Amino acid sequence: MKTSTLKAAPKANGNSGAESSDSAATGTTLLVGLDWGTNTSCLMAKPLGSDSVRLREQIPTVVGYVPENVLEGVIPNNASVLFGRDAQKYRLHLNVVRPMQGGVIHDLPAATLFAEHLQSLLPEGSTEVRAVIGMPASSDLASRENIRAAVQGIFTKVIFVPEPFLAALGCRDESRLSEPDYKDPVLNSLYIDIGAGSTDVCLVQGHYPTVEDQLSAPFAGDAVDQIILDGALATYPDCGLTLNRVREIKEKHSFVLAEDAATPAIATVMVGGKPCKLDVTRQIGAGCEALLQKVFEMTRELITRADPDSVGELLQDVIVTGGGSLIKGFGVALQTKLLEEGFENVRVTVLGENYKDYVARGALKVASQAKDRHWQSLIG
Amino acid sequence: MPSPLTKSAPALEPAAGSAKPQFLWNEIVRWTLEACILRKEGREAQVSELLQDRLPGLIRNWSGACGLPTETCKQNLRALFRRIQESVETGYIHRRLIVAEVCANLATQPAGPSIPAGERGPVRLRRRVPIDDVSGMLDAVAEAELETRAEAILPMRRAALAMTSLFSGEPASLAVLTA
Repeated sequence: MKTSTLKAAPKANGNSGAESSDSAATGTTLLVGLDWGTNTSCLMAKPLGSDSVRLREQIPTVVGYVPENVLEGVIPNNASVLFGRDAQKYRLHLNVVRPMQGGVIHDLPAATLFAEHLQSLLPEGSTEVRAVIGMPASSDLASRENIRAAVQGIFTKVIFVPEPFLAALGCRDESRLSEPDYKDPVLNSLYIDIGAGSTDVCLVQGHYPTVEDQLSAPFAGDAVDQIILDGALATYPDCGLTLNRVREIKEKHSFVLAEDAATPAIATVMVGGKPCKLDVTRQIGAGCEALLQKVFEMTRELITRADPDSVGELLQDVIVTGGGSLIKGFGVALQTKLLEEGFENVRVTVLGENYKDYVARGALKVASQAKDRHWQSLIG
Repeated sequence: MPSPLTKSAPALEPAAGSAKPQFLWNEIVRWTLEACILRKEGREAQVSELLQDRLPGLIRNWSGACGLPTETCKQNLRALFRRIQESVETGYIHRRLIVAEVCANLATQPAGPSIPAGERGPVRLRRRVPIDDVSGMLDAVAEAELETRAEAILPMRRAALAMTSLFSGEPASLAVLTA
C-alpha cells in the first residue's frame, strides 16, 4: 500500500562545479528518468555512475482524496490520500482527480502530492536526486513552470526534455550498434506518439527533431473518449456513463479495423442501481477511426516535408507508440491507409505494451550523460 | 568539429544527391542564416561544422541540379551570403538597441513583464543535433527555451523566418526560366 509519505527534500551537496558525468563523488546521487503521463507515469532510477537500473515502475497518474466522512478502517492505514493503483482500487470511497490533462499539469496541488508519492518509491539513501522529466512536444513554458513548481523540494535538480527525443533515445540499443543486422531506429524513422492529450509525429533522421521535423495536435486518447461518450449518450441518454468508465471500456475494446467490429464491445454500466449491458461497438469504432484519420493526415504531411531522397527508407520505419498504439489493429490500419494514399513499401511498427518504458529509459540515458551545467537546481 | 554520426553515416547528409534545386536552395538559405546567427552568438564550433560539413555538399548538389552556368551560380551564392550577413548584422544592431531600451524601461518598473498567454509556445530545436550528442541536444534545448522566452518579448526569429522566405526561390525560379 502506497500512501502519501512525505519526505524532506534532498539538498544539493554543493559540488555543482564538476561535470556530473565524470564526477568522482557519485556514490550518493540518484538519477531518475520520469515519463509523467496523463494516464500512466513511468519512473526509472539508478545511482549515478552505475549501469544497473534500481527502480522501474509504472504508476497510474491518479490521486484519490479520502473524504472526511469515510469510516475508519475502510481505507488502508487510514491514509488521507491514495495514489496510483490504490486510488483506482478504492475509487468508490475517494474523490479521485487526475493531476495531468493533455500531458501537462492541470491540478498543481494534486500533481505536487503525486510527485511526493513518486519520491516515496525511490530507493533510499541518496543525498541528491536528479531527474530528467519528459515533456510533451507541444508543451509551453507555462507547463514547464508548473512541473518545476510541482517537483520543487522533491528532486534536487531537473532537466526537461521533449518526449519524442527521449522516446527515440529509449528505443535505441547502443550495445547492438556494431551488429551488422541491427537496424538503428534513429537513423531514418518516423515516430508517432499518441498520448492522452496530444498526438506528436516527428521525423528522426540521425538528429533530434527540429521545428520542421515535428507536428503536434491536441487530438488523442482524451478526444477519443469524448467522442465515444457523446455517441453513447446520444444512443443511451440515461446510461450514466462517465469519461472514466468510457476510458476503461475503450482500453478493453478499442479497434480500428472493420473485422474487429465483429466482436461487439459490450459495456456493463449501472442504471438506477441495476447492471445494464450496452453495445458501444459503433461509438468506439467512430472514436478510434477519428484518431486514425488524424494520425494519417499528420503522417502524410510530415512525409511530404522530408527530404525526397530519404522517403523510401523512411516509410520502412514508421513507429507508433503511446497509449493510442494499443488500439487493436491501429498499425495495420495506418499502414493500409498510407499504401492506399500511394506511398510505397510502407511498414508500420507498433511498440506495444511497454511503450511507456521508452521515454523513461531515454530520460535515464540523458541523466547519465548530462553535464552539471545542464541541470537546473530546485531550491526548496 | 564534425560529429561522429555525420562521418559514419553519409546517407544522412541533408539532401545529398537530391535533384530538387528549390529544396536545396532553401536548405542553403536556411543553414547560411543559421551559420551567421551562430557566429553572432559566438558558437564557432557549430559554425565550422556547418561551413565544413553541411553547406559544401548542399552547394555542390544545388549547382549541379539548378541548370545555371557555374559563374551565375557563384554570383547568386555570393549575393545570398552578402545579403544574409548584412541582414543578420542589421538585425543584431536593432536587437541591441531594443534590448537596451526594454531593459531601461524594465528597470523603472516595479515588476517584470509576464509572458503574454499564447506567446509561450513550445520549445523546439532550431538546429540539427546528432542523436549521439546528448550534451549538444541539452544545450540546444536550453537555447531554444531561452529563445522562446526572448521571442515572447522580442520576436526576432519571426522576422528571421520572414527573411528566409525573402531569399528563397530567386535562383531556383531563374533555373526554371532558364530550363
